Amino acid sequence: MAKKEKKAQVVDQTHIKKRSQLKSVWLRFKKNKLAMVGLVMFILVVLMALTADIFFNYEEQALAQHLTEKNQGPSLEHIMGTDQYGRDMFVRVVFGSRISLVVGICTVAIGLTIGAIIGASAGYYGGKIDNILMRIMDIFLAIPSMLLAVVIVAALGNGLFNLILAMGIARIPRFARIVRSSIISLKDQEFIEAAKACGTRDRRIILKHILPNALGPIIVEATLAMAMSILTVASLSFVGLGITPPTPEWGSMLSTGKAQMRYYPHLVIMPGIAIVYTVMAINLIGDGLRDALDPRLKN
Amino acid sequence: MGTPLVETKDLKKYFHTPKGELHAVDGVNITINKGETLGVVGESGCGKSTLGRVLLRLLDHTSGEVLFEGKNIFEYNKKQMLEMRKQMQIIFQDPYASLNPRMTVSEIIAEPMKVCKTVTNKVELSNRVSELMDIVGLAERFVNTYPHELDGGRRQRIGIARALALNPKFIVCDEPVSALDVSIQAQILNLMMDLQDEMGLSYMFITHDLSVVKHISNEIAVMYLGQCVERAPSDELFKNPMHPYTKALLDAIPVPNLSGRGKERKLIKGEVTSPINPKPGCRFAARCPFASEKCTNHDLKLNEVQPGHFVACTLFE
Amino acid sequence: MDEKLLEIKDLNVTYVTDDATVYAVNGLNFDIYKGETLGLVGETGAGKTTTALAIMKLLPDKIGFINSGSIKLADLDAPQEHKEAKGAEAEESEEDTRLDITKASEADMRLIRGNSISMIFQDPMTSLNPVLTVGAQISEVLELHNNGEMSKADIQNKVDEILTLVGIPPARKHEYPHQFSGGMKQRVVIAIALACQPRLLLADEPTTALDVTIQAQVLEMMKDLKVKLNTAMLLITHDLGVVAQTCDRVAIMYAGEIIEIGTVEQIFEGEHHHPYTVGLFGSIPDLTKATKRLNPIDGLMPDPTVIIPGCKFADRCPKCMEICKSEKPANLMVDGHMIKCHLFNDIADGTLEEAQAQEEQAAEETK
Repeated sequence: MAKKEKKAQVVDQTHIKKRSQLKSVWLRFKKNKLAMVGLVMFILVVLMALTADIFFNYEEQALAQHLTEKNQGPSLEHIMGTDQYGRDMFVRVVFGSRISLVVGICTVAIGLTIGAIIGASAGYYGGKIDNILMRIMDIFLAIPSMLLAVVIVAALGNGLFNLILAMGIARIPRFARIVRSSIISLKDQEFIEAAKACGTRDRRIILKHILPNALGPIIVEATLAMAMSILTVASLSFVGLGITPPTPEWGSMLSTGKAQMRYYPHLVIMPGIAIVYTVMAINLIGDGLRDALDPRLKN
Repeated sequence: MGTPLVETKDLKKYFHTPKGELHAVDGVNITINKGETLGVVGESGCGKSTLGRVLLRLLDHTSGEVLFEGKNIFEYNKKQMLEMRKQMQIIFQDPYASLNPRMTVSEIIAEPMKVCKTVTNKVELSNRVSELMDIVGLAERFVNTYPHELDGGRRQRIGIARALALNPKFIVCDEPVSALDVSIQAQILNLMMDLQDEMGLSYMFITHDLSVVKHISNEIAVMYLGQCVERAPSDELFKNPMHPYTKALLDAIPVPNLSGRGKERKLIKGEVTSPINPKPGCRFAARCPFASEKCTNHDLKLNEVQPGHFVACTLFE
Repeated sequence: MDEKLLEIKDLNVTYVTDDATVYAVNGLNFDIYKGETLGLVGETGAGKTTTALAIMKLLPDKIGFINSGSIKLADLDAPQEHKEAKGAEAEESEEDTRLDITKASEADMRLIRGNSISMIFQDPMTSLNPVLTVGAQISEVLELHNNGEMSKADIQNKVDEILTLVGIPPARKHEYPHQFSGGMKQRVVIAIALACQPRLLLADEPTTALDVTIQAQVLEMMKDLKVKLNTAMLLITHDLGVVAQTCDRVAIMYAGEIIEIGTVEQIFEGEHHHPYTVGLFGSIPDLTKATKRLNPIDGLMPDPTVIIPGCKFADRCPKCMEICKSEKPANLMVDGHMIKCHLFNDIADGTLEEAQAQEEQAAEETK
């Protein structure tokens, strides 16, 4: 499902891309070995998140405490060991992936959609609209995004939805900036003028002629932002503002494990590996997508 | 002479710049007849491209009129303008920048028809694209290629096919061959002349290269700093140039034979200035070898010195 | 005039990328004599700029390679009398003291660039540094090649002198490039190139980006300067008009090869020509004739990644014969100039190589 969402996003940006073109993008993507590795890694995480309930019992294995088995190192029975309450780390990491993925994808979706609309209008129309919109964005940018998220969560209260909203809003200005600058550099090109000469409407010019040409930097930013979101939610949880225990989440696992890091390093290493793995997969896919979407780059 | 298709009446386009009002197009009167070509010649910054864009209403005008078949297009509302756009098209200078790099050849050619909904049926659309590609001499196999995979000449053919897609009556050609090699240049010029004969198109051919425009134009207008300084039928202008600037332009063209070698050429001094808050009088006066006091005290009008030959110069008043 | 300044023999340059190998320059042979202007004419992709970059040894790193051949620069810095004094007895040991650029080290090249050979690029807008004054950019070249002979004041005087030479008031040396117009900028670029009075100036489309009236001014100035400074010039252009007005000899390049080379008179008024040259002239709109249609050459230049066994122009040639598709034409001497075409196999006086050998022999005999 998460995978589909990701694809849908790309299609959204380019608006109505024809099948044949989607196919050629896929063909180009397939040639990129690193990107394919990233895709396989990502699919594994997604499958893990989707099928977790089939293999494990959330209540029993992820939440219930078995204090007799606490702080065990990796073994055949618990391949990632157990945490300070005797819960199986692997099961918790698997369930934790759900929150990380949902947060990553949803925050980028919010940030990208609103940011692209603001940036596109500012860049395309210029003048006063540009000035007003971008000054508002500047105000947002002046506040550290982490602080902004903290403030919003503090105001709206803890919870997954509020967390996503807070981080999504914090992402908007960066997307708006990137989209705006791409559009400014593209809007004076002759092919845009050619489209205008045929009477093409502004909406179609932006969606069909400008945005597809601006995709490169947007996708890079989107994948980076997705990775960043996963890290941010981890760090918010780490300071106690994101996901609260006992809900399994990679950041909060890190946070609770840090106290005993010196004696039981696997408590922080395991969720750490999960974060690095996912972030890396997303970055590899992003790089591949950027190249695949540009027909000018062969191979 | 034929019936006029496009006419401008005292057309002006000023740009606001931090330094003042830039008179890009300043009171230009031109007429383009049905099935004929008007060449517009001038150096960079003379406002020739701006003129082309104002004619198509891609830029808003400051004052004056553009009459298309007798009607002022600036009075049209959005919907009427959309209809109007089908009648007039543009071909650009840079075959690299004028095609969307993310679209295939067939998509680029089909785009105007999709936008204007002249052809809605998918099969018809692809037939029409093949037909257009055939007309401009593009092989069928390029249908799914991207512009960056093609050379300049072929790209320019795509640009022409796109302009023809809506069956326009009038095409503004903004330096369509300047970016091409000579041998390719000749191919494209021939193609454009053939298309004109077959479809009865009217062209406004903007260029800085007088030698290119001679072959394709019926009439030529020479522009200098936003104003038309001389207008005459093509042969007449080359045989009997009157305005000192036209003479200088013709003189400056390096001739590809040895007859002109070693001959002292009459070069004009100085460079084109920018038409920001211009002073009254002839704008060429500062560089003109024949300039006198007369030239700078009043604005000049085009005078018909000989039938069909107009000059704006105090020497011919 | 008779002294060879630069001798290019059988030069091959390729660009190697991940996708393909591009054969940009293939078996190039030509000489540049002291003080002459050689026009190098050809279309986009013919290898004109590559040739110039190879002479400067500025081919893009790790992509462009000189595969074989030599580019020999005459050792003109050695005083003439010294050479003569050595005379006959030194002749054997002195066989070839000329520097081969293809083998020269990067340190050697730094001495040559700007000093013996300098280059003017097409776009004056991008070849000047926007944050340095014009005067500073000219004096920089002088300082780089200064062997301690010139004092600071000398250099400033020299800068003034050069600026006057290219028609810019010396007072403007404290201005920045953006304060100059396009034509003036190109004059500055030329001033920088000429600062050290190079023996050879490589001008890569120096006037293409300029308006006609400005182009005429700049060309006129370059012609004057060439006489004043006795600099040889390789003028790369696609405009036969410019060539006719400025060059002494013309080389026509097609797909990495020189297909015809001769004096301007031979190329513009001679009787025999390579079919490509004929096509090139046919494509130019002629201002003096009242023709309505132009005669373009059909087709396109061949793909430079493919090695063609026969003549490279065969595909587009209206006079193509069987032999053209299978055999490479020799460098034939026709009417005293070189044409690389099978059409002239019968009437040629021999090949260029033979003619050169004869010439050398004759030179030795007179000695």
